[in-house]
Amino acid sequence: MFSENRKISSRQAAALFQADWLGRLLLFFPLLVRGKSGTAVLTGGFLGLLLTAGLLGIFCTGAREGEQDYYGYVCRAAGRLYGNCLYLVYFLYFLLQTGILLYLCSEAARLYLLPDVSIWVLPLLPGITGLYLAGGGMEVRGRLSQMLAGFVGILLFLLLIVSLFQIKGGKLFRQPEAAPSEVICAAALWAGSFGDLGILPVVLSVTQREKGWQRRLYQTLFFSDILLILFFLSGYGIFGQAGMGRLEWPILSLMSTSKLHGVFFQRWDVLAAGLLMVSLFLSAGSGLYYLGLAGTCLLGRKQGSKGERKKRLVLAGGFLAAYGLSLILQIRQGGSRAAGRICCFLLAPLMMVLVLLVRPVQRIRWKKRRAKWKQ
Amino acid sequence: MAEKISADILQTRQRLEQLCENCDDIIIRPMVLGKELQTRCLVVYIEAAVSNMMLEDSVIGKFLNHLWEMEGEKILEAVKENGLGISDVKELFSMEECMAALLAGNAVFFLEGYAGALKIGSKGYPGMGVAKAESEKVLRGSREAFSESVKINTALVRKRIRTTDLKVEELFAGEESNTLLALVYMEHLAYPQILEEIKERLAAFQIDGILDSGVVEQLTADVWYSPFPQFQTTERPDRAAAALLEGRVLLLCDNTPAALLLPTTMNSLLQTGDDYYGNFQIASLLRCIRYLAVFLAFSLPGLYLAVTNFHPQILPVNLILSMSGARGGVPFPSIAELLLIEVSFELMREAGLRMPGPIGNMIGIVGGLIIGQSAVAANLISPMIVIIEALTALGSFSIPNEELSEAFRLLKYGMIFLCGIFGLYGYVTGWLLLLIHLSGLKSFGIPYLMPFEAGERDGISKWSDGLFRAPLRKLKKRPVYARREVRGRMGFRQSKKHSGE
Repeated sequence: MFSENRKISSRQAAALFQADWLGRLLLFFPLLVRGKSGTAVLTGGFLGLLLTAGLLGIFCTGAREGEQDYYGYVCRAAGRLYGNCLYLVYFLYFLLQTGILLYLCSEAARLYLLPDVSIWVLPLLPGITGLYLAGGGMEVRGRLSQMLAGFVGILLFLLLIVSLFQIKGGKLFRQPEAAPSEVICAAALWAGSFGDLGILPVVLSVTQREKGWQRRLYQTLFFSDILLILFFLSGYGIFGQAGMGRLEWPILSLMSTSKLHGVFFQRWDVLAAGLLMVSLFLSAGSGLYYLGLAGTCLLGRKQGSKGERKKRLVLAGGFLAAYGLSLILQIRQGGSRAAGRICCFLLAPLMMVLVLLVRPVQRIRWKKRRAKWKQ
Repeated sequence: MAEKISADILQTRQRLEQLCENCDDIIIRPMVLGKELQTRCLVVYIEAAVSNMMLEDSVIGKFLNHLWEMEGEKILEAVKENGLGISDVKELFSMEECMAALLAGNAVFFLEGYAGALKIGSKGYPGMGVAKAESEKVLRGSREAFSESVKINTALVRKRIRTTDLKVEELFAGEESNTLLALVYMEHLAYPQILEEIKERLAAFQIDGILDSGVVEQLTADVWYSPFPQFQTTERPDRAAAALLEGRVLLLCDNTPAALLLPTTMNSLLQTGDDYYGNFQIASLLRCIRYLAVFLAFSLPGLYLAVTNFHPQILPVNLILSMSGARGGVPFPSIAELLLIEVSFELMREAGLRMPGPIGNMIGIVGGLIIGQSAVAANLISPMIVIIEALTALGSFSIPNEELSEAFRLLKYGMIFLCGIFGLYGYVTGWLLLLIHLSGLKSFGIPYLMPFEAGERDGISKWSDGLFRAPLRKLKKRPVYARREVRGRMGFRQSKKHSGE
């Protein structure tokens, strides 16, 4: 009938990315660029935005209409080995990312919401919620993100606007100069943080491309980027370079400084933490879904109830692995930063390159095959 | 041009059968008149609107009895000469007139060789056995409610939608009970796939007896384990008629004074019958209040626990101090206190429901006022908890659909446990788990949270008929239930001045 086609709309696809990015970028990205000068981060931010917009453009132009099964397409076009390599990178990237997300959730909850609860228990809640969400498939994720991404995004945007009133111009404009290498590093980290754009072809393969679908994706990218830039502007304006370098969760500290006279709520950081949690939980669901999808493709897909069982087992396995990883990240000092850097500098670029090379490899294979036939 | 009535009775019968195809509530009764039983005639009527008794007792009934004994060739002459002399009979000359008279609740008489028909006036649609709506009260609109008979219920719907496009298909279910079910739908509006699907689901189970539509509902639901209603029940024929005009399908079950509407969305469950009868601003306000009611019924106790036990710092200091002062002397932890009052409230509710009317009301007074006040005075519970519980109960009662309200009431306990253990972290988890479940639900292919999600795929705006209700003159399209090509439901014939364009 109506929505039995297992497809999502382009609005839902855009919402999926927005929901995935909001929490992770605002909570985790500052951790990755900690210690870098404000000039480098903000300049890198603009460069990173251009880079990601360019990549988005390439992915959108290259996305094939009517291709429902991306793994099947890659295997046909570039060979099974290539397909497996790409999906292995997907698997590793989303495993690492889900681990980081579960760590972020539990760490933020431990610091701001539940200081007395064991670190063994805290990642379980987003993990189980994510597992339930991932079990619903792309359609459920798309619908839920469509409902919540805008709501969370606009509220966070308003909270950031409120925090802008606390900016001290002197601190904002007194940023040390940045070396070009530092700017490039920040730009790479910035672009790498949007690394899950590499999964865009998979999402597009199940997206109904209505009029203006590309515009929606660009809007999402720009909105998330602007939110992040706005956050850094407020952060550097209020805490200065030194403060931003020392704070563990600058976004939440920023919210705790926000004051609105006559408003019932006294602590905006708790509200912000709650909103960021929503985004992180949705993101954990996405991570587990893609993890399960990549794992199932790598282990060989099966039809019918056997295939379903296998999918569930892979999903459960992925959840356990991500849970374990999140515990390691909590125990090991600096582990999360290292994992984030592996994602941004290694896996995300690798994923993007592999996606971009599918077409050229297809052309080379085709030419070789033609030459063989001629012989 | 008006369609003439054929003098050939077989041709007329064929045409009538064609017009009334799948209208099992319309009876086409052939008869043979005259001494030699050679003159054929037809009486057509709506079963519940025109009783056999009425036909026999009317003057035309007696006249028909007289025709039994006449010579064949004199019958036509007698009808022509005497027919119009009878007070409750009117002569009709076109098929359109005949159908209009039939659907208005009259019987129509056709005779072999006569290129016309006689309308036999009846008292119209049933008023007998039709009670007042009890559970879906409205300030404005019809007071009628469905009765326990499928026949009367279909007539109550047909009374509101007088077209042969309204189809009534009768089915029987239950091996021993042989319960009569009726599928009612607008032929040009309802998706045929939905009809096929419900028929398939009805045929997919075997059961000894169907004593209420609730049994059918449980056996044909999309997701059997979900506590949320996947069919909408209504006891109001006007509500059912409005749903039919939206392209939805009605399932009536004998011995059940309510209809099942399908497909169903949560938005439709939060609308009431008079939402479309009153001013759009007021209707929008009431809808927002109902959504607030959902929030209160599901999550207020949990939020209270999360804030007071884990994050009191988000509240103003004065409020925290007064709350902690009010709790002074209460021996239980907040969660136990909350569960105690929740269970007491459920007991009172159940007792009030099972008791006859006046005693039921008394239980509310005894429970709510006396026990509540005494418990606060005895320091068993704090006054704040009583306020929270009262707000939660008000929220639960303000949800217009009882089944939906029950689902939220049940899930509230899960929320209480999550918030009692994890505070706001649990609160976020609880809401997300609920929303994931609701996002995964579909009723006959339609997402349960439509139009808040996936609405744009069918060109449906969440702002026009979701949380708010647009002015009626702007609601020109039918909702997603109707076939795409017949979504338009309203236009203005007159000048732009009247259309408000």
